[in-house]
Amino acid sequence: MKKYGPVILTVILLVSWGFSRHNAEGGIKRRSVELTFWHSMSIYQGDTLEQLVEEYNNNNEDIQVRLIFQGLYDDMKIKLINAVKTGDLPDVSQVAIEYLDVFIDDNRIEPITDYISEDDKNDILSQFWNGVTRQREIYAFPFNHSVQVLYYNKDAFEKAGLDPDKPPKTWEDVIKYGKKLTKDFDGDGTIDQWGILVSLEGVFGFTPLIRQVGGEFLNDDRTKALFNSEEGVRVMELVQKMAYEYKIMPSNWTLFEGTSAFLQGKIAMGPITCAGIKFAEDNLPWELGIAPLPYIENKSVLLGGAGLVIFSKSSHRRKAAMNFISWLTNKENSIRWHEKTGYLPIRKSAMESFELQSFHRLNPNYKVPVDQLSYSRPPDFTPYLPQIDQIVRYAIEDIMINRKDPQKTLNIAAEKVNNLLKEEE
Amino acid sequence: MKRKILLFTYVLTVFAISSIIADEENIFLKKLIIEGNSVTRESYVRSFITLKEGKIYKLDTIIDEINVSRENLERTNLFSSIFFDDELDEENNLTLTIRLKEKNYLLFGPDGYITYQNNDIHINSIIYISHVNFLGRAAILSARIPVYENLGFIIHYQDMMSKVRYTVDFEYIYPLNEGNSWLLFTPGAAYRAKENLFIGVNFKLNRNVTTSAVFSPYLEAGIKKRHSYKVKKWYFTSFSPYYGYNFDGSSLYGLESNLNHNWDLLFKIVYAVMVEVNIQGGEVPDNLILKSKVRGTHFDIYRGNKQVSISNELHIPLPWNTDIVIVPFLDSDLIGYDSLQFLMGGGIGLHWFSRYQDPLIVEVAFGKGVMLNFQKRF
Repeated sequence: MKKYGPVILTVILLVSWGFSRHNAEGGIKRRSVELTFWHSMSIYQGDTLEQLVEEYNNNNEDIQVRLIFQGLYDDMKIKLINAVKTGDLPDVSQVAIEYLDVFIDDNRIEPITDYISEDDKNDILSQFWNGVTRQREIYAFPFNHSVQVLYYNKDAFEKAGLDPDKPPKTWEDVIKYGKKLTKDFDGDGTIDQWGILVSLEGVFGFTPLIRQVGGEFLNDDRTKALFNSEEGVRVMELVQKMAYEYKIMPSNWTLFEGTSAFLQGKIAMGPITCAGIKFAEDNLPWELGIAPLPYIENKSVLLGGAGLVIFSKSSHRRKAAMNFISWLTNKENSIRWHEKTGYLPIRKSAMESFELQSFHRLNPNYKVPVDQLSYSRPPDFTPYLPQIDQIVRYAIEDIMINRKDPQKTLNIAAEKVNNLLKEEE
Repeated sequence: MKRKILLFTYVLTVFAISSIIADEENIFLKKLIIEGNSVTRESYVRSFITLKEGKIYKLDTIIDEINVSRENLERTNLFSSIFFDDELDEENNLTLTIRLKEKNYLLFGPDGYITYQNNDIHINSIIYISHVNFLGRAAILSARIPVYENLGFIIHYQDMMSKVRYTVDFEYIYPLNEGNSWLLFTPGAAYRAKENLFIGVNFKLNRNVTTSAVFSPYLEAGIKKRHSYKVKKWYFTSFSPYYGYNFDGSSLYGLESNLNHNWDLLFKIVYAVMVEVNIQGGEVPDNLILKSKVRGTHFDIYRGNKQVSISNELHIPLPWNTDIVIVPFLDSDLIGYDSLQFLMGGGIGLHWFSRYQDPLIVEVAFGKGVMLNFQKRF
């Protein structure tokens, strides 16, 4: 063996040198890019995103994507604002569509309109483009979008003598059903199962209901609050009555408390984002029903979610980022993303595909939010939307928890919002 | 006459419209392409596809058949992703591409236990390696090699052709400390009578102190693993009476039965209970004698010809990493010959689902002794 040692060593060295040379030559030709991608997807959504990015990295030597979780949308917004100051921005970041204006307003991001192919422009539904377009310029690529749907507990329906395949269609139906579903099982005077929880989480819960009675949240110029109109008051009175007059919902629960209670079977119905369907179906011990968001007069749902923003300034990195984004949102991945998370498929080609039609036939719950897309609209965008959201949240809390007069409370909130919007002017 | 002409025109129009509608709904499956199957044979994949090239289908039928085919493929447990991509031209000619992503088929890891009981340490350690898509058609070939106290090998092969499942087990163990070596050869075949029902027979040839031939018909029902989280309850049960002839003129007989039931309680927390009832009679070779199954107690010490084992497990996935599952468990055993002895043990385990293990199990158990267990239970 000793005799052949030097020969083997020489062969290994020559082969290694050959390989390293080959790689070095390849490296010069390719000019590989590593992109950082900040995201807000936690638990199973984060796992799905990780799998997709891993697959992209395995199939693309030239572009590698480093995925970094930066907390949920609010945390992400703060981190991005700080990163703007320090200059440590990622190449790509998920930005909630309602926070997009914060960055557009200060010219912190540049439009990506010219980087988007005609095929993508035509294939992605206009509703999604509306969420990321401002003054005809596209600032983010649509990615994870959701609408609210009505979650309901089919087992609770059966126990209450209701047909689990006939969920309520209108809010009037919800009140009727809610009365039957609200139960004090042990007779101790405490409600063990509430009929519904309508947690009007600020702008996002309130806006679609105002639109359902023909009202608007802000005026078209975004200079005046309209939520204190007759329509807004009507909505708040309806929700207030559900808690205090019909006694079918708790008055002081947050969306988080309500969602946990729903998972534990303590609430029979509730409007929740469609992005939770996968989690609910996988984790609940009882059968989940999904129905369109009930309507008052007109059907309307709010389109929320996030788009992918390219923060890189160099053309080379922006092109690489677009390559990754196009792949991440292509027909196949758009369907996989929908199937594994509950977020909406964004492409027409995906919606018309046999793959999605066959998935929906076996999983009809996932089809409900897709069917709602035709009457979905994003919120009324303004850079002050986060602050407005806070003002409206406090007003709703006052109406629901402290049982304040809806008209007076909304008027106070509207005045604060109008002052804020005047500053903008 | 006018009325007749009008009626004729009406019938003709209805016929023409219905023909157009019918034509629109008909889709010709021009081509079926399979992609992404680098290990799995294309013919094996095609055997699960219920759609056939060159046939005309209604859209509704295609959607249904895609679901049937997908479920067939999912049940093989070979693919992490199955995607049906359609391309429909203006003349309703369909090209359907089935894009597959294969799982990792090569699994390996340690298997065994260390028990400390009555001031004695017992170690049983095995390295195992298995290929779960052998020959590209979901055949299983696994080898377990003892690396401590015993020498030898345990080889298992399982294949499925049409509705018949073939199995062959070949085991040779040579104890280094005490006891006799044994050679066990078990060919078997089972017929799939229904989706989750097998009727089969095993023929065991055992060479220990004497040579024995054991004939054991069996019935298997249910599933060991669920293929979707939508399945909230699932079970697996088997029942097998057996009779054997020892070549020294004596005979043996017995019954093996087990029931494993699982309930998904909430948030993927699963309660699993396994009940086993085993009875033996006649002259049973030493290596086939019933042994305690209580974790935390050295398996070899407590033996008998009658046994009732109950094992309870709670599988709690970590919310922030569902690949890791914490498993508290409680086992009990009633075992013995004429008088039965009650044994109990419990502990906690960690199951880690990685691409090389499904899963890797580490358990600490307390019974008559203390046990560090790497052994798979189900």
